[in-house]
Amino acid sequence: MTEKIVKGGEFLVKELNKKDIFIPEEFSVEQKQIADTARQLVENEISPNIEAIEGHDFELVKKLFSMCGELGLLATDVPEEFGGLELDKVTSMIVAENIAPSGSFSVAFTAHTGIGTLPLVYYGTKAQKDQYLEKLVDGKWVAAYCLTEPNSGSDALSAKATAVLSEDKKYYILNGTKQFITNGGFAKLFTVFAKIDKEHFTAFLVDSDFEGVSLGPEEKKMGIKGSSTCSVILEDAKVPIENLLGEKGRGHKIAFNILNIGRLKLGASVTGAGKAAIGESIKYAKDRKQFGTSICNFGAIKEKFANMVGDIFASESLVYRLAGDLDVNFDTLDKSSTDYYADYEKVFEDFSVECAISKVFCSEALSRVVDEGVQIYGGYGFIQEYPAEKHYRDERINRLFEGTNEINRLVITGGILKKSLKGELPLQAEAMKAFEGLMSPSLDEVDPSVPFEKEKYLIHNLKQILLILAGAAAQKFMDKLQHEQEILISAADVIILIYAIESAVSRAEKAYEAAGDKKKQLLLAVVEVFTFNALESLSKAAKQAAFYIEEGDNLLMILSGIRRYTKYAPVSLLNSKRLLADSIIESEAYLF
Amino acid sequence: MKILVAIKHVIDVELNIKVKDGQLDLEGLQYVMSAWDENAVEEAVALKESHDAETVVISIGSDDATVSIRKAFAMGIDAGIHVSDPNLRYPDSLTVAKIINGVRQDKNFDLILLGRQAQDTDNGLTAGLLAEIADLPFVANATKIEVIDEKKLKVTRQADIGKEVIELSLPAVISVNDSINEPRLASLKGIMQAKKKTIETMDAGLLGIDSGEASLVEVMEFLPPVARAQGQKFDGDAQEITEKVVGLLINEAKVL
Repeated sequence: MTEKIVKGGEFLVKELNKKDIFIPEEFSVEQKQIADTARQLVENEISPNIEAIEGHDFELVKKLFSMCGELGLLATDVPEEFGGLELDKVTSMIVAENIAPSGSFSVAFTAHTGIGTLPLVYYGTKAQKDQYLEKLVDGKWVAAYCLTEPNSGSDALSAKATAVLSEDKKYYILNGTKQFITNGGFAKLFTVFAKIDKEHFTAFLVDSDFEGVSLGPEEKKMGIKGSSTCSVILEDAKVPIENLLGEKGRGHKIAFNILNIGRLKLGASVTGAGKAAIGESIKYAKDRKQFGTSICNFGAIKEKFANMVGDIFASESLVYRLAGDLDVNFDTLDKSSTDYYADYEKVFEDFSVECAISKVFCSEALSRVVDEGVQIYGGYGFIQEYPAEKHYRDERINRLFEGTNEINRLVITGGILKKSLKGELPLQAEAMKAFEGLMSPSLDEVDPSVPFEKEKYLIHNLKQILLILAGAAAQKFMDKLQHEQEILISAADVIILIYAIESAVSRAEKAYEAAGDKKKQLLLAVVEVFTFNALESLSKAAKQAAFYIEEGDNLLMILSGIRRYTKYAPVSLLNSKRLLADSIIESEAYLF
Repeated sequence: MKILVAIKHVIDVELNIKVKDGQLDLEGLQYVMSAWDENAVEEAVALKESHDAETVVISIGSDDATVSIRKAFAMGIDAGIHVSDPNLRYPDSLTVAKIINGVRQDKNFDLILLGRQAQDTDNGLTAGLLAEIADLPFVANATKIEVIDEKKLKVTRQADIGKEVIELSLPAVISVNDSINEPRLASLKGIMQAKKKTIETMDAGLLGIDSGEASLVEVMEFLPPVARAQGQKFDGDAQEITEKVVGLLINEAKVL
């Protein structure tokens, strides 16, 4: 557990003490057992049925939902009062991660437990919860979330769907088309967003049996083919006024806050998918013989495994760090208070930057992993019979839904700037200090023999780069900065990678203490490999941002600062990669 | 009915096991409840659900063994006993049987269920030794257990040829085959409730067992399984290959 209560965004201006990070090595006995239950359910009941699921056998999918319900897997985020278990976020992430190897089913599962169920949990009245929640928890009903429309995707608030109060004032009459609705084909409860009197953006709980609700045909998709995705059509749909969720005109609150947890959880899901993809690739590389030997014995392949493990190690470290931070914040709230969920929402808002980081970093880490997965399979990776092809197609959606990665990048930089403007983050003062630091010579000495010392020094320096860029951009563009999307996106990349490197390094540093000799070596190796890779991407983003923002002498000064602050010598990089690869080949699974 | 289930916390044999200097390399290994013991736990919980029964698990060994006891709790077992003693890290089957018998006498169990063998040692001795020491009826390798009444069970067991149906009176010892049931997955609710259950710790000494001298056998050295030699592929003329292969079978493999 962590010692201190960390606040959202502060990682950019504070050093992280390893005591203040939650790491997967600290999972409790119960959390490990919950992981086993989810993993075994996938292995025994879902994976053997993948073909039927991909063929849209929705009766089977509903049966699997019931099974999940019986096991309590749908209950993690729901209060005990309504049949839930109300477990911490770390445990929720464990469930999401271990369900993830089920591919399409995992998408259905996550949509149900996340965007499907949580609006009701967070914003529902007691009567609404009594009516619906238990059915969602036991899996008898599946839930879906209807926000997107044909002409309103990222710009969610421009939705056209309307709601008008009926003459007898007993119903809202909903009209409009909601599109790309996950679980649409078999869900019973929809959370639908529509504008009352074309003005007040509001959420409604809509039963699929309500008069005027119909479904469009299943979409033909690139990946996650087994999940149901269709339109939900509302033609004078009669929704009882009791089914208005939250407050009239406050639907945007629900929409955006639910996205925060969705983004956090997506990080966990793709981490699980990445581990599964690594496992399949190793087995293949061991079996596949070319030039008289298993291809896993070639350096060209080993290097891929090392990079893949580095990426997933960082994803995993990041997701559980964030979930742990959220948990300690939630622990300070008074559960019996009527404002509990309002306070809960504030915690998520506070961490909206980190949630977006989880979404972007982890989904892109998975994209690299599945791409290398196909490459390891060679020509067979292009053939549908082999799992690499499916992993590759299924991955793509993660960079699109829950807000495209571009929207999320804008949320990241925008969120940090907003915190600075609100005085929650001393960005300007820290930027000034960073500029001063740039002008003075570096006197710090790092003892490279102390484990993780050089990485910690690097992290400190990388934060200086971000502060310098933020300071320069703010000075030059002032309040027009929000329109400079290319700069915001480059800055987001720097922020994302700082958080990822820091998560991986601090997790390794904390785990190192209790690790055996072999694990110690692996922790040092994975940190070196990931830090080097991430640093290369970060340097590019930082330089790009510098060129976008500055010119002349200022530009030269910032560029020299970037050079100085990105110095890092991974002296045993090749050995680290080989050690990771050899260990992963031996264990035939993700290592940590 | 009072049921005692004896479970063993073992190295997960699905992982790659390595040997260093004649001993198992323990770093990085994971431990699980022995697979057949999971069947025994499932059977006890099923008996509890179909007939009124009190279910208790016992595990012997280091503190890690409590992880398997908690797993049994999560599956639905009511209570747990952990016999802990540093000298009992690798007790032999006879010592284990004596300890289980001590607990049995102490707490008056009607039925003792065990897996037919432990996943790590593959000895399959404990159940039989226990029945012998306790002087109780014993059925090994059970595939079905039916309750006739409070004091009588009908048990089907897998024999070498076909199955045997046996009627036995309680108290009794039964070891189970893995085909007897499909162990349930622990539900999240069960897992969280298990957290609240307490494990009773017992000392082997109090059961009259001198753990320091208990084991009659000791494992001196551990040898890894021999890796299977690579196969050979022969190309070319059928006549030539046949001669070559027959030659190798006679001279190298020495099977002809």
